[in-house]
Amino acid sequence: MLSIENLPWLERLSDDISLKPEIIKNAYLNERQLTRIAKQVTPEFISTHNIQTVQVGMVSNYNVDLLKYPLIASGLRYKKFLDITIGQFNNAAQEALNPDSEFNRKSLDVIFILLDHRVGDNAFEFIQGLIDGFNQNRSVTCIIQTIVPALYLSPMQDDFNKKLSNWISNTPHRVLDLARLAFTLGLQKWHHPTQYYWAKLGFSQSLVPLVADQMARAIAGVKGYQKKCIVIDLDNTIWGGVVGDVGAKDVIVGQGTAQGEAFVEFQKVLLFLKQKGFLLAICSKNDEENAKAPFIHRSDMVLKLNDFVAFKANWLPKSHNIKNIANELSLGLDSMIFIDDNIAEREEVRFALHEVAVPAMPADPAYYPFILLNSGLVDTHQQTKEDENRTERYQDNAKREAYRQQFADLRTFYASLNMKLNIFTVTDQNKTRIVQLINKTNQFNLTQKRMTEAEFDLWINADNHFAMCFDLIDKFGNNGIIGVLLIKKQANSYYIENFILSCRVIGREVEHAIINFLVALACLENIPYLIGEYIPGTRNEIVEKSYQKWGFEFKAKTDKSTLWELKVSDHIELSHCIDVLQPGSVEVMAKDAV
Amino acid sequence: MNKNEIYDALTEIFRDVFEDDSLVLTPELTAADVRAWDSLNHVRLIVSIEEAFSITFSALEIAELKKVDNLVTLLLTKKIHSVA
Repeated sequence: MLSIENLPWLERLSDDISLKPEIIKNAYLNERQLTRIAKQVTPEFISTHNIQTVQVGMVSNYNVDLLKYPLIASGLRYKKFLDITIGQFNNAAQEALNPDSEFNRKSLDVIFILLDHRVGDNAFEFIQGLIDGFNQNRSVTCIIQTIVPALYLSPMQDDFNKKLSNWISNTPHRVLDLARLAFTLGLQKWHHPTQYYWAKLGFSQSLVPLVADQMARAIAGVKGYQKKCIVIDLDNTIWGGVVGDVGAKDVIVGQGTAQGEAFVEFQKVLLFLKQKGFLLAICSKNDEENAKAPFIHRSDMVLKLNDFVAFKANWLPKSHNIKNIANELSLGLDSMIFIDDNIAEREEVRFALHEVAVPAMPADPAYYPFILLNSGLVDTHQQTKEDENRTERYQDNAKREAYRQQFADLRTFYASLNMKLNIFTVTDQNKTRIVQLINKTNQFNLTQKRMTEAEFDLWINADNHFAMCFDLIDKFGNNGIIGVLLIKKQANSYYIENFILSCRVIGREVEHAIINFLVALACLENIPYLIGEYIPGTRNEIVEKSYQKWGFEFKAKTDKSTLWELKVSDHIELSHCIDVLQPGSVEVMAKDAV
Repeated sequence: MNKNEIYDALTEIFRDVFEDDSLVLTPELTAADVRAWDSLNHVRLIVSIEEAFSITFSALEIAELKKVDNLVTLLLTKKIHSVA
């Protein structure tokens, strides 16, 4: 039977369990295979595959030693190398409260607080105390497990878990929902009394691959791991049968048949994910007319043509189409998920584009929603208003593109867009979006310095640090918050810690308006210089020459970055066609900056 | 399964858990003889055996395992038919 215990979104691959990215990402591995893989990781492997190292701590009132290597191997699925420190068994309080404990001496990025139902009374206050302790010297994101009810003589823990989740949602910390996982599995499968009495294992050892994967996802989430686009096959993926053979009226979808209802449900799930901010695209081996026919002629289809940002129906290899879709949307291949019932197509895409996430799909479409929603690929770690309207905005972009064709000259085009730029300081309402931009934006990102929400809080509260964010409205709609500028005010300069623009607005000279604004701010505060730094990273070559273009002078080069300087009095207004709203805002901003 | 078959199956599991492909099982072998046989790997070993033979051990049975011979004797009493 299909069970979450066996991580069914991973393929059952061959016995080849060597350390290869495509194996780790796609294959189900048992506890021994995970352990073996983890021990093969070398510094060369980490640097060759661009894997980010994360310092992880774990405190627990049960034995978590057995999780260590499986967790390291699971982290590789999300391109993280986890350097793990395990606190002394049942000694969480000591690790948290003693400033000299190993936990407080190390620079940990993430700490798991894993306390089961044996934690006793006042668990909530105890956990808050631990979090305060870990955060006494520096900020660290804590991930706290929900409590799984015991097998007998125990309350259901609903109150505690609800209280924990509510409280956490207003902090930079996260929940690891083991209670939910245990309900899915069944409490009898979760608990193993013999193993507890014998080795203090908090849950059945057979669940280690599953729990390790959930923990790795949670870490990846803190570090900004987020897919953006779901590319979907048609025949036998969102309806039953082959439309090219049977025609639109006979594909199986809709109420009345078991299979038809299962496909309706899967379409509903895809629509739900679209509303959560994922882009949907079609990639099918079909003639375009046939492929579109069910969307037009079948009223029982939940998904409509305008739910998709791209529609590729042709006979080219699917990897080829997925690459084109990614290019058209300016997305990296590592933002893409590909869903296909056919294992041959899945393998073709995995082989050609190893960065694309390709979940295994079961034979029975009734289980498609369960697989996709549990795969870890569509978890949204931070939900912002921008996510909800993402499809509309990408479609607005398509309209803009069509409109642009009518103008031979780009400047006439820009002027006709009626762009208006608003400038804001950081608030609790826009902070999540700002952190998301910092972590998810690759192209227009001058330094690619990533920050968790906790790190951002620490940064913004430091003396002489300030940040601004921007939204852009044009005749086609509101683009939402599309840029962030982080500034460190120094004795006679503003140091630009980072400058980020969403790829939606690249090429529209928004950056010119922002630099002009920053110069105006500097004038007002008698700051004579702006200092900028460019650090090459993933796909940010497009801004390599930016400081030069904006009139900054080259100052220095290190092996990792280049430094640039602008004398404010030498600044020549950069041209653009954008109205910067609230003309008084320079003074307001200057007051905030001080 | 007879005694020899159990030894063969166990050898494979021991080698996998202790990551030593030259490990040879003898009745008198104990944890002290195998470098990687620490308390952590002991847990992994026992759980792997349970999984492979689709059986479970009680806490008492586990406590009484002192050497490989005890383990094989115990497995013989569990009347294992085939390796999963």
